Amino acid sequence: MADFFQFVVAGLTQGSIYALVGVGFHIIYSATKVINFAQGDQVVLGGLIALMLLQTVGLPLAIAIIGAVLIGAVIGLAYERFALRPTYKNGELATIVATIGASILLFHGSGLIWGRTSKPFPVFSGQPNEVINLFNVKILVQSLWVYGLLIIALLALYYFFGKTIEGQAIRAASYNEIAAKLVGISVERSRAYSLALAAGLAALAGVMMAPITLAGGAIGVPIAIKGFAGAIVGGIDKTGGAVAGGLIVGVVEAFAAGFLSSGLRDPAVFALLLLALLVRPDGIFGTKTISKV
Amino acid sequence: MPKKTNLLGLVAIIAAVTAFGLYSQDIYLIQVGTYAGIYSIVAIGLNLLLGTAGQISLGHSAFFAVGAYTSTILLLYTPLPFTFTIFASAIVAGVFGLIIGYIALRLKGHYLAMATLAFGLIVYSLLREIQFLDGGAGHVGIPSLSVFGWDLSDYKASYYFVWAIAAVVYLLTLSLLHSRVGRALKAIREDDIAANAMGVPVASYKIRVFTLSAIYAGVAGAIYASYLGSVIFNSFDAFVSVNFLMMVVLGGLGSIPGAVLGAVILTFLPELGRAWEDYRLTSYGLLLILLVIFLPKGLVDLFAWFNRAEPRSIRPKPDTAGRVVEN
Repeated sequence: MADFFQFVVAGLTQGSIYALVGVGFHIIYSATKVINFAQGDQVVLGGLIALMLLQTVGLPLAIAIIGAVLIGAVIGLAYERFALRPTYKNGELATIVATIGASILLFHGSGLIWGRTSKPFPVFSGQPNEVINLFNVKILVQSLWVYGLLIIALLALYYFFGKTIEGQAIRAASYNEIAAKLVGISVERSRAYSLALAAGLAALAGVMMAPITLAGGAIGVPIAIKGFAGAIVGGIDKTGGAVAGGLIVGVVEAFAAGFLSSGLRDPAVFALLLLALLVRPDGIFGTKTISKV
Repeated sequence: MPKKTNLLGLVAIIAAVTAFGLYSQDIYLIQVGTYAGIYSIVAIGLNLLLGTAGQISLGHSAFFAVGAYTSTILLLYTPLPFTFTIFASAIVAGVFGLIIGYIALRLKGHYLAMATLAFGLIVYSLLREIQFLDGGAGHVGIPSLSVFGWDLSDYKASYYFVWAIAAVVYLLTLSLLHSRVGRALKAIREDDIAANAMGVPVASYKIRVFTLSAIYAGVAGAIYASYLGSVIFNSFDAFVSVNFLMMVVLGGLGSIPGAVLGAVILTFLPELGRAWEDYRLTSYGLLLILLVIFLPKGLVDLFAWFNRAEPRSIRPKPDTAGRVVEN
C-alpha cells in the first residue's frame, strides 16, 4: 500500500507538469482551434532559459524563474506572429505543419545553443533529493514546490480570466469571434495573448520539473503528447478538465512504470490517449459536442 | 493536377532515374538514390492520404516499421523468401492501417495528427521493449533483396528494382487518382459532410485510403530492411514520420511527382552535410514554417507558376483561402 501512495505522489508531481501543458493546450485551442505541437519544446526551453539566467547571468533563483516565464511568453508571442498568423489563411493543414515546424525549430535550435545533453538544475530549497516523510510516504521537497506553483498558477489564471478585462476579452473572443469583434475586441490580439500565456505556463512547467528531471534533453514531444492526453482525458474545453486530466495522466504513467515496467510508461499514456479519443473525445469533464461524419 | 502532367512526371522520373543509374559509377550516390526510391514509395502513399484525401498522419514511421519488422522476422526465422515476405509486410501494415483508419474516422485535423503521432510512438516503444521484436538490440544479417531467387544484392540491381517498384506504385496511384475513387477522396478533403450528402461513402473511403497508404509504407519498410541488411528500433522514431510529412509538403500536396521530388530532395540533402546535422535539422523546422506560409502547394507549384497560360491576376483564388471563423 505504501508503494501505491508513493506512486500517486510521484504521478501527481509529473502530472502537475502535464496539467500546466494541458492548460496551455486548452487556452490556445479555445482561442485559435490549434493544437500547438511545440508546447512540449517550449517546456524544455523554459528550463534551459532559467538555467542560463541562473548560472550564466547569475541571477537569483526567483528572478530567474520569473525571467524564464517572461522570455518564454515573448517567444510565444513571436511564434504566433511569425509562424501561426500567416498560416491561418492557408488552411488547417498549413497551421498543423507550422506548429510541427516550430517544434523542430525550437528543439534543434536549443540543441545548437545548449547542446543535447540534460543538465542538472538546483532544487528550489533545501538539499537535492531531500524528502519529507508523511505516513511512510516519501515526498520530495521539490514536489511540494511543484504542487504549490501549480496552485498559484491556476489561481492567477482564475483571476486573469475571471476578473481582468483582458482575460474576459480573450474568453469572449474564443466563445464567439464575430460578437467579440462587434463589441470592439481585437481577436488577433486575443490569439496572440493566448499563445503568450500558454508559452509562459509551459516555461514555468519546464522550470518546475528541471530540478527533478534535469533541464534539456529530447523530452519535448513526449511531454506535449502527455499534456495533450491530459487535456483530452479531462476535457480540452475547460481549464479544470485539462488540470484533472493532466494529473490523471501523471498517475497512470507512474502506475504503469511502477507496477508493470518502466519501459511501459510511455506506451501506457499514449494508449490512454487513443482510448480517450475513441471513447470520449470531449473528455470526462468536458462539454459534450455533437458531431457526425 | 491533370492526368497528362502526372504521366509526364512519371516519364521524367524514369528518365532521370535511368540516366543517374547509367552515368553514376559512385556506389555511395547510387545507394542514396536507392533510399530515395524507397522513401518515394512512402511519400506517394502519404501524399494520397494527406494531399488527396486531406487526412494527416504523423504515424507513418510505424507502418514503415511494421513492414520492415514483419519481413525481417519472417526472413530470419522462417525459410520464406523475400518475394513472399514483402506481401506479408503489405498485409500486416495494411491491417494496422485499417485499425488506425477506423480510429481516424472520428478524428480530424489536429486531433488526428496527435492520435497518429501517439500510435507511431506506441509502436516505437513496443519495438524497444519487446525482446522478440527488437528489444533494443535490433536484427542483423537480413538476407539481401531477391525476387524469385534472382539475387539483387548488386548495388545497381537494387537501385533499379526499388525504382521499378516505385514506378508501379506511382502508376497504381495515378490510375486511382483519376478515377471515381480519386474524385471522391478529393471531395472528402474539401468537405466530408458535403461529400457524404453527395453519396460518397466517406467512412469506407477514409478507412480504405488509410489502409492503402499503410500498405505502401509497409512495402517500403520490407524493402528498406532487406536493402540495409539490419534494422533497429530507433531508426523508426517520430522524426521519421515528420520527415515523410516534409517530403509531401515540400514536393507539393496532392501531386504524385511532387511527393517523389520531395523524397529525392530530402534524401539527398542530408548527405551534403553530415557534419552540419544540428543546423540542418534546425533549418528543417524553419523550412516547414516558410513553406506553409509562402508555398503551401509545394515546389511543384513553382513549375505550375512558370507554365501558367493565362495571366496570374485573373486566376481564381485558391480554394483553401479563408479559414472557417465560427465554431
